[in-house]
Amino acid sequence: MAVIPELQVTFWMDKAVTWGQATSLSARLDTTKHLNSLRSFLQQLLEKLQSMSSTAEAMKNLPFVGQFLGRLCWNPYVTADGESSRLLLQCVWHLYSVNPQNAVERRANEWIQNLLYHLTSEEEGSVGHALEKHSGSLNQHYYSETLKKMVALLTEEVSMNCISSTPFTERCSCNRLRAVSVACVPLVTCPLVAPLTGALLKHQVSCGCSHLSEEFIEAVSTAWLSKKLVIEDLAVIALWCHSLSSLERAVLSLLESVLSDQGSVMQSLEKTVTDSLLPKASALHCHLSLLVNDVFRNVLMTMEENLAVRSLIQVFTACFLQIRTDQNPEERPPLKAFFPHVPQSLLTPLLTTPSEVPKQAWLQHLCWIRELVQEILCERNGEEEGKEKEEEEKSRRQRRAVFETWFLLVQCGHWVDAAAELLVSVGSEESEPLLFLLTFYHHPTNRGHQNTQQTMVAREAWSHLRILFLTHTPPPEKLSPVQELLSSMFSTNLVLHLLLNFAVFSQASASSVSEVIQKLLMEAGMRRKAAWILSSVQHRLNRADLLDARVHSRLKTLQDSLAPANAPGCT
Amino acid sequence: MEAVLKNLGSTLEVLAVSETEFVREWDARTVDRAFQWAKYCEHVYNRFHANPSIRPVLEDCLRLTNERLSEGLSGHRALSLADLAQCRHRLFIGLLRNPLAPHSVFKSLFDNCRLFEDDGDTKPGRETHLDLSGLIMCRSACKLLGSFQLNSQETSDISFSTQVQGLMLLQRLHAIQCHPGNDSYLRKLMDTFLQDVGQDLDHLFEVIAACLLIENETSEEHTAAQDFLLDWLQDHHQNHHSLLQTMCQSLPLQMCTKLSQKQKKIRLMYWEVLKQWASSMEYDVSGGVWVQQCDTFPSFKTLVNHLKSIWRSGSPLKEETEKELVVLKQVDGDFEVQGLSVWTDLLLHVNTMGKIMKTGGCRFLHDSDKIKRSS
Repeated sequence: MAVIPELQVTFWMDKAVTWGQATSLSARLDTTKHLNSLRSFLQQLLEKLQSMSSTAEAMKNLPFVGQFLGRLCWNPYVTADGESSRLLLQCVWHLYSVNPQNAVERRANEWIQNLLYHLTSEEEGSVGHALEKHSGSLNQHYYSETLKKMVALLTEEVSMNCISSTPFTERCSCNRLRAVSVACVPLVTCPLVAPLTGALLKHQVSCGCSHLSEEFIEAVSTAWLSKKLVIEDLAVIALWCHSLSSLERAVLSLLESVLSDQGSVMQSLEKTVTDSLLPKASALHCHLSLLVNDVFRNVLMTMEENLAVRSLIQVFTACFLQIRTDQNPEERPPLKAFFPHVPQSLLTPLLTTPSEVPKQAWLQHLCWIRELVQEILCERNGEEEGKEKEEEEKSRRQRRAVFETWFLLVQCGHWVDAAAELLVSVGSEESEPLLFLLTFYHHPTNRGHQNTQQTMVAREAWSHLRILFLTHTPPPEKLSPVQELLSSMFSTNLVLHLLLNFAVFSQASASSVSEVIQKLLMEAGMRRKAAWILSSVQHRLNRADLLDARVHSRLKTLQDSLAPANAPGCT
Repeated sequence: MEAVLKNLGSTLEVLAVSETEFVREWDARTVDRAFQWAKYCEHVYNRFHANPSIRPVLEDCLRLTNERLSEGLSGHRALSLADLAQCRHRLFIGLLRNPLAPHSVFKSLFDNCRLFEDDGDTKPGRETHLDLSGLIMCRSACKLLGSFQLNSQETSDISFSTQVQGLMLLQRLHAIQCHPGNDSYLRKLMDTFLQDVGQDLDHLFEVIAACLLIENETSEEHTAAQDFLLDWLQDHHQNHHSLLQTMCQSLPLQMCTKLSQKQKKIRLMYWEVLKQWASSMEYDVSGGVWVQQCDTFPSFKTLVNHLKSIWRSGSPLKEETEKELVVLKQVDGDFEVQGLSVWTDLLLHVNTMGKIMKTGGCRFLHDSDKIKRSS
């Protein structure tokens, strides 16, 4: 076990002495600033203490420990913090000897008993003690009732300030509020204090100064991400309005949970997204929505091929639109404000959800989308041909327009799914606009391949799949061209997308479809991608209430055959 | 009921033993059982404490057991009815403070007290133990938030934590008042409360003031408890004086004024106290001052300050008090000169505030000079 560096010991000992009982604002602020690192240090100390065979040995090796722990026990900013308090008591308890061997150990036991007495009891002969004693309830109940009342009064005060903070008041109440926010740092995870935390977050100041301490923001943000915060939705959203870095953290945490997940999130992607409150925050505050989408843009650019990220963005947008639908139309900002980089003409058809369009009209709707997209793409190509120097700026702008169009298509990926579904049943002529959209969705850039080439690949894949799923039992030689296209580095996602739509929506029997899928999708990465596509299909159908029994059972069969347990090699 | 009383008596014995040298014999199992019995007592308390027909039986049992125990065990600390509500805590503290309690007992105690667990869920088999970490965190949280001061005008002289203590006291009184037939219980509770406060009397008065200042608009339940508190203050006598008188001397002047403004009942009671203080003064002709005859009552100067505070508060409290003073002055002969009626002099002294240069004031000074000279 590593020795605790002398420098570290001196640092923490100095801190404990300076903080004292945290009576001054500076001591309180400093305690809250260091709460996180204090927890780590206490953890380290605890491990060290656990490695000692006796209290005498601990005292000899860590002579500072008694005074250090003792001082911390008198600092309510430390003892009110659940984690610190737990570690602190555990450390203290490790110094207790069941069979004390010498005077040092006996004194330590006595000291610990006194310390616990101090921590759990009021001084006798005081009003506090008498009130506790005559409360007629358990001591802890008495204190939690007291705490509730304190929180209620302070919450009222914070909310009242909210109303009365007019420009006429001599001094703004920010300093006071900041002091309260400092006090809440160790208490953010305490459910009883939640109303106060919420009121502080929702408090709006007109004077322009910050009324919440950084440590408070940090503590709330961390508690939210670790799911230890019991607080109303609007307070969390207020936190993000107050601190954009907290919002960024929340978006990244959502992305992380989706990316790191091997299956469980996928099943409940919509719930994960809704629970993150980010769609709600985006719908309520346009500037938050812009920032969230910026994070998505950046992630999408670095992980273009990642289907999990695309599903997330797609589901996120659907949730966002749903919340908007439920909002009072007079209170919500226009949609254009949320999507400032794309022409309104494109917004109208894409932001309409497939469920809002009768299925017979899908093809027509998709043709319309295709026309609009193609218009934007053609403009770009025209510019590229020109290559005039003075046009460079314009060209850059138009490249941006193409990216934004594509990003919107990813956000509204349900229409791409709808196109893929239609491709299972349409004829050759009607397939053209659908394949175009599918190709643009999967291959927006010309990176390493040509657009026309890509369209050809798509058409080829489509033809093969049609033949494959027309036959009741697909002959092995019909599988190999699909297999080839799937393994091509440039067409995997597109072919997979088509393949799975055929698997779900074609008339071929479920058992033969399962067989095809099992044969074609051997590799684990591929199977994961397939699972994401299926969950996205399921999500769209669920939302539109289109999930009939047949499709549902096919989806289930396919999902089961893709489950890790059924992977090739697993028995 | 007999079985309950028997068990109660036995548990009291166990608790008494925990504070003596006999605790040396205890082991983990004994502690465990002691806690189980302590929890049983808490149940008994919750079940019967507000029942006016059963409570006296419990109190008798406690009294008899306490008497018996203090005969047998030196330094025995009697257990009150209130203690029953927190029996396990009482047991825990008793053990902590007993230097002879075996270390192994604490080992099992702390292992069971969930001292180090971060969740508040009660683990199966541990329901009888205390949630110490929860208690420590809650207490610390109260300490932490209690250090703030509220801005609101009404009670700005009373610290925030005192206000909350006032609310807690009021809530407690109300909880007992909810059950009929508990008036004497309520009085007894406040009497023992007063005893337990010890030297912290000034703070107690602040808490009571906080209780009385709490607005009733939202919670009518408070009114009855406030009325009870006022009656108790008036009826409870210590050294021949009512507690109310002591309180009026202890509280800051503006707090007394604020209380009078709040409620007619308090105003009348406060006025009675002031009258009593004034009535027990006599004029010392040689010194030319009013001298307080009663040792524990305040001086003429303090009394004037009390009235000045009322004057500063403005009408209608000032008007009403002044009117009553004038009546008293008239009853006393309506003298305008100093040294004959305490009411005249009080009026004169209070009215000198800002009015000293008025004609009446000048004439008074002039007249009193004459009187002084002539005497």
